Amino acid sequence: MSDEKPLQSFANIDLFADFALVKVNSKIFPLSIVVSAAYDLMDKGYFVIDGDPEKEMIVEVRLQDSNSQTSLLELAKEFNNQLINYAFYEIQSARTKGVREVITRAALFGQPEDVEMAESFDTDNRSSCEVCDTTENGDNCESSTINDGIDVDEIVDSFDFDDPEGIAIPWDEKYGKSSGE
Amino acid sequence: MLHRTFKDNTVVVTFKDSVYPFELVVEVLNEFKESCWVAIYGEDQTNFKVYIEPKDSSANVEIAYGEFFNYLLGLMRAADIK
Amino acid sequence: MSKFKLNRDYTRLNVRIKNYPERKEKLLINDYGKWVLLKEEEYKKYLFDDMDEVLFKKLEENHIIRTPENARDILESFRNYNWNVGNGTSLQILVPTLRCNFTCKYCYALRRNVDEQGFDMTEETAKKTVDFIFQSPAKSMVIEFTGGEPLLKFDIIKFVVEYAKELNKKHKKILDFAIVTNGNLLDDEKFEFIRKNKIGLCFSLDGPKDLHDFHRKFTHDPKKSSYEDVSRKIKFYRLEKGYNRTFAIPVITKYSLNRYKDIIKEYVLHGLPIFRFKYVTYFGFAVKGWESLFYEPEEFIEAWKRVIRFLLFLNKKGIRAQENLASYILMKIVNNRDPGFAELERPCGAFIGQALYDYDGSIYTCDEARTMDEEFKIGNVYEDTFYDLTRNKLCKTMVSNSSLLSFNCDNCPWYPYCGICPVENYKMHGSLVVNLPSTHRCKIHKAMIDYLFDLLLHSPEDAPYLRKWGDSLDNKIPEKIPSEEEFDALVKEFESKYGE
Repeated sequence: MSDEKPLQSFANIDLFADFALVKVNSKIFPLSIVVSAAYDLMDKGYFVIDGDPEKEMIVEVRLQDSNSQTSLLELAKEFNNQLINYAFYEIQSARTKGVREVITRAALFGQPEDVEMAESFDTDNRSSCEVCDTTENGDNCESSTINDGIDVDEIVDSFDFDDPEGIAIPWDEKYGKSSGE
Repeated sequence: MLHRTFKDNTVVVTFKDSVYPFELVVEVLNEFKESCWVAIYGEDQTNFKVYIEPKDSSANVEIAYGEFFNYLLGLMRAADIK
Repeated sequence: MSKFKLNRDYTRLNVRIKNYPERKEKLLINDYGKWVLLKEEEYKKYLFDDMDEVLFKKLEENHIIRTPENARDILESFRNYNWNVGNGTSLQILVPTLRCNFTCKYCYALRRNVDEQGFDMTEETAKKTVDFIFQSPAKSMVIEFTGGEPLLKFDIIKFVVEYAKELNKKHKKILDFAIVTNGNLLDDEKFEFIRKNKIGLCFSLDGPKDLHDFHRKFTHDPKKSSYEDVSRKIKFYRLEKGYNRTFAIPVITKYSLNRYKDIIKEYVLHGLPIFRFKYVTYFGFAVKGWESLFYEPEEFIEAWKRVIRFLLFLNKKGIRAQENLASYILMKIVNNRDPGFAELERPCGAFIGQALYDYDGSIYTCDEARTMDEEFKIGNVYEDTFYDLTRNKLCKTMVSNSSLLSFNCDNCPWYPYCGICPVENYKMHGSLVVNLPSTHRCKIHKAMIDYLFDLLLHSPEDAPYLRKWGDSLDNKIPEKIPSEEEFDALVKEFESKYGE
């Protein structure tokens, strides 16, 4: 992914000037866990997943905000921590799957607490759900039009959002009374 | 087989066909991730390295190393009872 | 294969963990919000299957482990906690008219002018709507009138109330009514009907005069004070006439954040012990003025915490006052009871918990949904049955989407206490599928729940009051209301004690 020499290496992390490369072996953390970990940190960094999801993946990590308190190395380490977090989440989910299903079915649908018998019941209640695709616009779609009513729009347009009357200023501050009087 | 090295307040433990199940290693690291930077890297779930670095640079990594294995021990014991 | 994995006569339930590393404590929370606080040593014993009797009992009582003895209790608790699933639509919101005599800065309803034609519900549509509403299997229902300004079509309100009560003679549901109103058109004649039928009245009261008037204006006379009108109505109907079933809510914009003491003062002096400090939502007119109205989640959270501290201070001084959103969260934490507040429900209740019936008979998944174009319109009272709409693809998608079973919500310790608004996510981000932890609502909810738990667990002087908040929302008119001078003195005492 990069021909440069890393400035520093820690564990599976190679640190470069503007990015870090984190090596992840798929036999230890499959792609789903890598994606979950990266998704969780999406508001702090940029994550590019490269490599072979069957063998070894290399995740490029960059800071979103170069002025942020978090350093690039810390973000890469946090990514490793999140890999553990989601790996354990999958382990825990698998361990408790049976008891969760039993309780949910028995409580909500009045089905028996026997896992085997429960699995033989009709699962029509679990309908498939399709998730809407994202719109082409991505972020903010065009806001729903404020339905007509010209005089209403005029009034709304006349709203002075800059607070010339000092509405947002606390009474105490405005009239000069200090706490403790 | 186990092998460990200490360097720069980080302990690196190599697990190669060891007695410790991978799942339990993950579980313990999950407990430690609050106070430590942790990582697992290696060939597969029988041959890998674990990295533990306390987030507090003044903390003693040898204690973290000891606690890590004690945790593993406790989970191993619980797993055996099952 | 055994029925369930037995481990010395117990099975561990699924838990999420909140760490308190400085205190060496861990808070374990199960799938339906029952929790236990363990010291680190206790936690290790739990983890290592090395529990003593005391710890075992503690975990059993709090449903962290499942035993033959508590298995039934667990089912009961789980069922109670998820009562809204399969209960049937219980909050039925009806729009008698979209017309309104006010224009408010943050109005989400996309109201029409008073003199516009074609935005009123007809009696025929009202009848069809009530017929539809009674197809819901819910044993208790609230029919809530909103708008626009619903009092502009009081004849429809009367018709719906009377017809619904007639139908209910056969259905025998617990039936309640509520009107969300600016109060301007309320008079003695309307009030007599409201009182006779025990209809809840919910006013908007944004705070002291300058703040309230700044937010909310009469459309045809923007310079006239709307505060004076609503203040007079609340005092008259609530305090003089003694009508307990009056409520009020403020909308908190950027202009309100630092004015929380002034706003709470208004509520206390109007005899309103329940006060909701809730973030403004991204709908309607608020979208246009969003940059000016809204705030960063961190700003809101800091202000909200100050509100909680102030209200607790007032409680200790004998003044009954509680924050509405905090109380709903506390109901879940303290009493393991889902209060049915849509914004904190999982799933969110889109149609399955609440539905909105517009003036023309259109049915929407919820109140906010009608402010979109038609994305969340699911049917019409003339064409569809309740049964049809429970199988509506959009409703199912929203149920799935708001169940919080996506990995990053399912992994959050506050999962059982939280809820999302898929409609708002769609409005803000153009998709139902968003990175939830980065949304303002997630940041705010997380901080609120975290703060309340911290106070409950680690602040013994505040915990009893918070537990009381979690027991119920007590809206009774207080026996004694402090004078303005008395309240101002309390404010000064609070400020000198806490420097806020």
